[in-house]
Amino acid sequence: MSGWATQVVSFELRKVFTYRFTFWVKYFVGAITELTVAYFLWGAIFAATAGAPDSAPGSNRLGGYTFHGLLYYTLFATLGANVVRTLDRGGEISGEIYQGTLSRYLVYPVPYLAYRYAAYFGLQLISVGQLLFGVSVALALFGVPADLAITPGSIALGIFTALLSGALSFTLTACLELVAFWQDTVWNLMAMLRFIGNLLGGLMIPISLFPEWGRSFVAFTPFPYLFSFPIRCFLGQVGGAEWFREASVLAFWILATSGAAAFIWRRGTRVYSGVGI
Amino acid sequence: MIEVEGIRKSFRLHKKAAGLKGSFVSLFHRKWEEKHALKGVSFKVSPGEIVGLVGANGAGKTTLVKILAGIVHPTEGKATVLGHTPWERKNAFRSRIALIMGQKASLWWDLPAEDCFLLLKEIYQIPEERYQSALKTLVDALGVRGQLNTQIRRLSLGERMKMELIAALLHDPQVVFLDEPTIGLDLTAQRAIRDFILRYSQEKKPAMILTSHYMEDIEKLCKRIIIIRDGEFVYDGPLAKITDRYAKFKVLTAKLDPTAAVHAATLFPKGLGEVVSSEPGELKVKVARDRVPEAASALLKSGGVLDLLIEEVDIADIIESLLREGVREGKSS
Ligand SMILES: Nc1ncnc2c1ncn2[C@@H]1O[C@H](COP(=O)(O)OP(=O)(O)OP(=O)(O)O)[C@@H](O)[C@H]1O
Ligand SMILES: [Mg+2]
Repeated sequence: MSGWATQVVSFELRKVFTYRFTFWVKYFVGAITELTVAYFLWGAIFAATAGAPDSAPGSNRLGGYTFHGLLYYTLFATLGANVVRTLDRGGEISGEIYQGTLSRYLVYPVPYLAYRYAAYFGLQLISVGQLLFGVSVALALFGVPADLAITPGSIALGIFTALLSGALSFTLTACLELVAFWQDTVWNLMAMLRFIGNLLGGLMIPISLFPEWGRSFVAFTPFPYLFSFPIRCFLGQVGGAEWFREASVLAFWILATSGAAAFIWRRGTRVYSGVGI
Repeated sequence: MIEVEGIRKSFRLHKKAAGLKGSFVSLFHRKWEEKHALKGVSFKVSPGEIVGLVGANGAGKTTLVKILAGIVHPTEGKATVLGHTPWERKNAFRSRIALIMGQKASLWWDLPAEDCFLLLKEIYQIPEERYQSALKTLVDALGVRGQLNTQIRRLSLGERMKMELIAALLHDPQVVFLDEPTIGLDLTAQRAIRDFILRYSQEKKPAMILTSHYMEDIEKLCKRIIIIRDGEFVYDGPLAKITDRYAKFKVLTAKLDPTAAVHAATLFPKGLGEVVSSEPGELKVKVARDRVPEAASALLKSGGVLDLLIEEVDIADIIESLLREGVREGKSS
């Protein structure tokens, strides 16, 4: 990594530590809310299906997951999603275009999108720290669920994959944010991407719970590689050969979307008028 | 070093009537309007030169600077800065220029100045030794050592501006664009920044383009000025030429008795000089040096004059009147 990128990463780290308070509040409130919702939601669903005559209590499964397992799915989905798309700081690029503050970066001899990605990566590293902390607490309190092979190795693979998925999330979002060169408001596009990503990426419910046609549909989109793929790595569900196969599809999507972002960037800077000075 | 040929820039704006109704209508029917910010300008700047770009609000100064710094593409025309076309934004170009905008913070808000400088050191790949010595020189020259560890957002405007200058000059740029570097500052800070820019220019000899609404900046720093009006250059040449042309004159200001119901301008015999301004309590006339006594006595004799002031023509006034009326070659002499 070149010198400036290292500096940018370290700046993001330092910045977050100057805002310690919001940093932890956002983290805890987010994680605990999602887990509570998941607990009651999956609890109700399991209670409803537990009445089936041939199901011994605690042995019934949904899409291959036990109740315990689904809670871990939610934990890794929440904390893993933070690694993938960081502490929700979308709108930086479009904001800078809209307000004209992009101008200063155009003068610096560094590629702007790479600069932004370095900052993004810094935030990802912070989320990795938070994830390790949260997961350690959960494992210490509730243990490893019977149906999942969560190991230090699976967590390491999950983190690595989530960092890669983050690159995809970054380029995908950047493509939409860059539309700000032509449109004043892009938040609606980004909200849409976020919602679709959550749904089709398996963040709300595991993709294995989708109907057959749904599963084959999402396989052709980049979304499962955003969330579902790293989450399954965390949960120890992805073996070596399978990992390489899926990771190469992920790499393809990263290349395709970063190519698109670079193209939009070139067109956009041509019409950029540097408003506001 | 800077060569500009026939640069034009038009902005396409959509006009919208005020209010909700206007917004609603514009959803279906947009009226586009072309705004010509620059109408084909050409000039050259050599190393060591500071060119003052003077013009009223909206004349196109910032737009020109943005184009030359590579931020904005022109609609038409050619420009070469340090051998590059600015808006191609080659790194070889960008690492040798600097842009300072008085109205816009470019440093990182949450970081102390010194951290910002460290990041810039990496961005511009400045070797450690050169960085340290440049930083020391700049910080001492501007006297901001005490504020180096303060977050940018906690600095006063003047302190921040000095940090911006340091940040922009750390990498030893060969071309420097200064867009209103002294705006909003008190007189002491303005002078400090002015002196600094002058010394920097003499030592490092970069090509500089400076815009300012403070005539003192222009007077102290620029030997050459460009006057721009509505996107067109109306004057490009030595400041001295303008000063000289007007130095043959003095300005007489007569304080008048507001109750005396004479029209001020009629007090002054025509052919003796030129009326600059005429208001109920005050009359300003511009008179050739050798005819000052004659004019003064004519004024005093006319009655109704309470007080009379005789001064040199103020360069700021000259430029302002040029901005208002344009340059009238030969007509005023
Ligand atoms: N991004 C933009 N989009 C549309 N029009 C613009 C834009 N930037 C500038 N203009 C128009 O171009 C003209 C020139 O603007 P510019 O900012 O260059 O003026 P200026 O000479 O710097 O004025 P000031 O002294 O107020 O800073 C103005 O009429 C302005 O409305
Ligand atoms: Mg301006």
